[in-house]
Amino acid sequence: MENEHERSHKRPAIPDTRKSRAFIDAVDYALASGGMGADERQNIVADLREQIEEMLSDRARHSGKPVAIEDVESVLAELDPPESYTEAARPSEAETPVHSGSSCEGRQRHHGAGHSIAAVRDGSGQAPRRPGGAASDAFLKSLRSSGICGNDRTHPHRRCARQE
Amino acid sequence: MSTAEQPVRSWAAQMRKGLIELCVMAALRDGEAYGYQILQRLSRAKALTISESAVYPILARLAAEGMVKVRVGPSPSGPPRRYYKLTRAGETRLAEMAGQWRQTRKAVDLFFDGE
Repeated sequence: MENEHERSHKRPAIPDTRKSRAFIDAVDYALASGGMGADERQNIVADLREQIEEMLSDRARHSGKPVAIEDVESVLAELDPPESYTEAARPSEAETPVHSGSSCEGRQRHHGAGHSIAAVRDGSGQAPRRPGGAASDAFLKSLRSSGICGNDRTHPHRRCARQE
Repeated sequence: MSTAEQPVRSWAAQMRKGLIELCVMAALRDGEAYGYQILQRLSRAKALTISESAVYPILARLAAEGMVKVRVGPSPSGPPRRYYKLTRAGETRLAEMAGQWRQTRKAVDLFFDGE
């Protein structure tokens, strides 16, 4: 039987929605797209899952209500979009050639200077979010097949802007 | 955003990118922490605007390099948490990086003395 302490700290039941699963899957896909190995991806996804659960628990504690799907959607919308993990997963610039050209057109991948990491916001603190916060595999695949930069929020080239 | 601001923002983003690893390791100097807790510690540095998609890959890489060790421990309730702690090698690297950062900051500040 649980005691008072356990009851007061018990996390509310979190709905296992398709949205949160899809979000985490999209992050895993984005990391794999950046060339990250399975072990590291697993660690990152575990950290992210813990964060989502803690954010949901915090919301439930403050509202005094069980976690609803709307809470899941709000939490996912607060997080960095999955595609932002692709850049972070890539090897550091010291290990990769630096692309310093004036245009990204026709390139499959970006490395190096001139391309900001999406996770480091542009100073405004207002990172653009995809509606609903979740990216689909189809979205990520379409970016790569188009050869257009899909990772960058602060890219100076208009034609390299994220295509949705 | 004006055309003039764009290169500056891009430069600032690159500069911050290079400092995230230092900050993540420094955030662990006060003791072990789990991923979200590290993010919360880093949120004190508002100007750096460090978010999870930068921090978690760095933590994974530091773990793979042996700079941090991971301990899976219980949370008050719910699934177990993964706690990160600097290893001896991590502490050494942090000290070296912090030294580099202080030297760089000092050198750059020379150009702005008196402002």
